[in-house]
Amino acid sequence: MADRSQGSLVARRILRNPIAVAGLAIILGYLFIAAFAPHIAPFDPTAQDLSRSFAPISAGNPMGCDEFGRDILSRIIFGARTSLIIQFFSVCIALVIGVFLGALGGYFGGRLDEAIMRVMDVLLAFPGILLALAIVAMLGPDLRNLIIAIGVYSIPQFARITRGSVISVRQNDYVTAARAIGENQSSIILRYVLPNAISPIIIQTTLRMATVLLTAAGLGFLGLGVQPPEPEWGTMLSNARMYLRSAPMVAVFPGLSIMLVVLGFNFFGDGLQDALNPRLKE
Amino acid sequence: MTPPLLSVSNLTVHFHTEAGVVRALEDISFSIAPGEILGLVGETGCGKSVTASCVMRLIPTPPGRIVSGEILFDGRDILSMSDEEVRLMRGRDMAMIFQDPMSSLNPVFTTGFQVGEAIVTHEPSIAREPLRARVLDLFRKVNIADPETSVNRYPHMMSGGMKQRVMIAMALSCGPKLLIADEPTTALDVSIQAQILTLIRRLQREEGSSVLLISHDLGVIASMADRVTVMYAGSIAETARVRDLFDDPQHPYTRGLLGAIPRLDRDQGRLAVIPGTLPNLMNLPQGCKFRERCAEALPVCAEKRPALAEIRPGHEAACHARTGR
Repeated sequence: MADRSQGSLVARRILRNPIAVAGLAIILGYLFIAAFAPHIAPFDPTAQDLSRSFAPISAGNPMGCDEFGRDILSRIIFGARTSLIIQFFSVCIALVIGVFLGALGGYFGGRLDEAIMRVMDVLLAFPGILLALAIVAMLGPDLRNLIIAIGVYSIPQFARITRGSVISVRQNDYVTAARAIGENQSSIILRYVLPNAISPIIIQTTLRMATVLLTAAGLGFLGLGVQPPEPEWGTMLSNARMYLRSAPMVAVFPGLSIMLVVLGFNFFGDGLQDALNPRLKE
Repeated sequence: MTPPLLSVSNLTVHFHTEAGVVRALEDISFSIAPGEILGLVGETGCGKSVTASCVMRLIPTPPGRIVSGEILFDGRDILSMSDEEVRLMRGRDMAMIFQDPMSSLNPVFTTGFQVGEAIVTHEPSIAREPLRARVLDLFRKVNIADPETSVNRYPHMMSGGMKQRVMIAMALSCGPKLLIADEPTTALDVSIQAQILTLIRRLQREEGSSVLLISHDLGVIASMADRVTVMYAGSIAETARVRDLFDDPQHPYTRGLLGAIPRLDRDQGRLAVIPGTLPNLMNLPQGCKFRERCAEALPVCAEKRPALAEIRPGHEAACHARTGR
């Protein structure tokens, strides 16, 4: 082990796991496509050409065209960008608020913990998508509200995981030792407790990226997500539903994209879980 | 006589658990003079560590509850201080070395950073370079080989003995007046034990600080302490100067303990044992807690709990058979 840091050890374990590497490759490809969408996409994703509606797969349109003659490949590429924005910001909201609440409850315990966790229980008692649905229905369907809705419904998961992890880390001798040298509560939480409680949170973040994408697509499918003509995979799927018999390919590609990215995050998340598990010492 | 640095009087601590009230400490009184090493001995569960935690105010409340008593440190009442005052006192005026160095360091930071952190906590304005110099100096003081490299090492790269040295460096970082060492060598192997004890002793002499040394090893106490306090089931059985305690123990429990030590210098056959087991701290008997295991028990022992009384100057024991009452 010598001078090797925890980080490089984890990286090595991931690279040795083919499933995790596949997941990582999918995620990196997805990030690349989302970042450089305008440079990669052959057409404007919203440009209509009714003469080419339902055009079949060809060299010019590798995935064909949809009902308004828009290039599906371009819409998929720009859809990646929309999905990534939704994933990133909603997970950020959930991560920041959830970790904060969970750490507070787990570290201080007692009534504060009770209060926080009961609120989380209430949030968890709603079926996730229904909660997001209610929030979007209340705030109105657009990208920002979709992000808020998905973020809020992901808070309890982060709060619970953080709390559990913090409670087990809190009992370590080095936390008592930190108190014994006169550290104040906030540095004990930030420097001693959270860094040691972070592994399950990282794993949860990765896996949550997948769930969040599915939820966003689901809400899009129900017409409560990103509104057309903005390209979003769930919304695209929903529109394609009407032409499922006459032009099935229009539905296949958004569906495949969702599946692939969700799979990528899940593969990587599982690999990360194995790599971060301290009981898997080499 | 100079006033004591630490004086604990009539401290009683209970823990409220689901099974009932655990009477962890009952009417504990002792004191430590400036520059003195007081040994605190007793078997597992007798309240040594709870005593230390109370002095640092580190016992969790609830479930713990300080029922009564007073802890005076440097003339200030620790139990009535605000949380912030206690926090500022910890590490600066009194510091603690823990039993298990393996788990007492934060695994995510380098050891040098952690020792620095202990200083920064109490001197937030200290600049980078003086801080580094002081950390290196502390590493040198506790005999860590190659301090320049060691400060950049993570705890998992160090041996138990090295980690305990880091803990000691951390404890000494702000020059505390009182050092509490809670079984500092229990988790280490014997050869390292001696080194760590010698180190604590040497630093105690150099810094002139007082030490509360907790141990269940009478050998460690004999070689280190100036005075000894023997605890039994949450009470103090006997307090005396080291020589007096080993030469002429008063309390039957202390005699039993000393009789149970194997000796190389004479052939004694089977080791003596103290009959019976510890009383349940949730359900203590009336009268003396040691009565059921004591060969010298008197009728009065079943009725009245003996108080600590002076038998000769500086030697106190809590035993009806000794005080003759």
